[in-house]
Amino acid sequence: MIGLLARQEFSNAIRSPLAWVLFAALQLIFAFIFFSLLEVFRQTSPQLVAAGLMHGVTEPVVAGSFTLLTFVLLLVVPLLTMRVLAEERRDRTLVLLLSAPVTPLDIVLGKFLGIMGVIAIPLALAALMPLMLLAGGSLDFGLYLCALAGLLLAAMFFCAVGVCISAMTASPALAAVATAFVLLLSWLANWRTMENAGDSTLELLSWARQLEPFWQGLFSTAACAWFIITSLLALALAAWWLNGGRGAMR
Amino acid sequence: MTDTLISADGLTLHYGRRIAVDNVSLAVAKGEVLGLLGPNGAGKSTTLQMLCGVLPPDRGHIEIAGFDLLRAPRQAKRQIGFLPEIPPVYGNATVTEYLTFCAGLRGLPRARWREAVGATSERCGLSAVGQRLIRNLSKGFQQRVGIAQAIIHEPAVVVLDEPTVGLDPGQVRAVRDLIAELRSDHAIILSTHILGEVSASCDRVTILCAGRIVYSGVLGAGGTRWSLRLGTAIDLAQLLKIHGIADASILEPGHYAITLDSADTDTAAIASSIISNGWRLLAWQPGDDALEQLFLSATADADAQERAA
Repeated sequence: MIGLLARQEFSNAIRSPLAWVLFAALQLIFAFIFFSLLEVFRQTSPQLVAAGLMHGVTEPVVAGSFTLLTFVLLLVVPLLTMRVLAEERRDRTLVLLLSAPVTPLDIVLGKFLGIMGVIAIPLALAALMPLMLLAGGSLDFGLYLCALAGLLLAAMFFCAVGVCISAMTASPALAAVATAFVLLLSWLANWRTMENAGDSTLELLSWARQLEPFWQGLFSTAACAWFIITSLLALALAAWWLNGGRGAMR
Repeated sequence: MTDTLISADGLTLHYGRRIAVDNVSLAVAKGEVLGLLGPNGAGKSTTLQMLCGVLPPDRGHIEIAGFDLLRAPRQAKRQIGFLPEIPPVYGNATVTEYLTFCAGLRGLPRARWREAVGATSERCGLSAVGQRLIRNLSKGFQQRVGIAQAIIHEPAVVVLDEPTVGLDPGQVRAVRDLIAELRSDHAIILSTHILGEVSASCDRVTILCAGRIVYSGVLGAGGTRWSLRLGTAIDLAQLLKIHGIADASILEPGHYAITLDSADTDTAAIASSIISNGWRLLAWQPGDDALEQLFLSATADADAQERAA
């Protein structure tokens, strides 16, 4: 049943021109970021080699461009997730799902997986781009896969937050703004802690801080758990909300 | 009432501090059509949404085909087909795609999707528009798609919230025919504020006003409810002496609601006794008119109580 809901969400989303405009914009922006970083790397690599700081192309260009891509996703994902449930509520089609033999959690998971499928398209294209470097050199595949995992975890977290907020309103625009705001706020939690080193409570709230090990090639299970737990919490909250605040399982 | 397919007991729901539905109970058996009447804002749609598991009630108990809706929602919801006030259709899907999704969503096994979509499209007159996008269809056709999704899985209970709103007379007729066809093996609940709709399709009627049931009774198929208008004012006692009249009440001066002994009562004989009594007979007709008066008096009473409270 979750699969059916996910397929419906996916096919509905990729039929809207919005998704294709976002795909195109994302691809263009990522290409620009990627080639800019590559150009910077090309110009500075002789000095880095001379200073003994040279660790290859993967960290500055690949991990660097993925880091910047997460900030672009912060703006793009809310536009994709805004309609998943808010639009159903606004158009009164949510009734169809609520009167069907599925639990609110099924609905939320179906929507989440569907929209993850949509975001996977531009992410797959972005993931392919670094592979072209193989034409003129080699890649640190461990670092590349780690950075890719970080990117996917961030996308998952953004989608879960987006679906959660979309469940709470009948206005897609409001859902988009609120999602971007929450993600931005969660990122800023990282900023404050940079000034007050040792304040780990706020740090715990920042997705950007959790991603840092991945950009350095460390697959952090703690950070991985952070993303999975926060995403599940957001989805459970969405299901609870859909059910009028009366439990998510039925 | 041996074959009750849906029963609700003591449904209550608050919206904030306002009580939207107050202690509503009803039961519908297989082969029966219940009409839910009431002025706008009476709580009809809210009641139907609770019956279909869309809104959980604050208090009360709902049983559908033997399953408790709150304890075993999956099994219970499998037995419900619901057409809300606004048909819950996805504009950017074709009719066939949408109905296929609904077949799966309502729990039909995949092997039966195709056949169910074909049969339901045929039944609702949608075969010719299967490949059209729903948003490009007329209101009438969108309504038909809405009805199709409610019956595609052959549910025990079909709940229709104002199914004929916005349809032209021909389409209204088609919906009535469809209801007549469905009633044989389903229990049907129909909400409307068109009284003619109720007398055309329903066996029983429940009138809601301000969230409470203000009237609940049978509308005999042949009609034991008749409406009488006289030009002479007479006592109810005099009316009740006439053979064949079981009960009578005054709706307004000169207008009486009459309940006959049975649906086979000779109404022509009653008319001649009225005339032979020397009362000026202005009108003597079945159903409708009396239902309208019943509706107005039942809801007016409730309004008065509301104001007094």
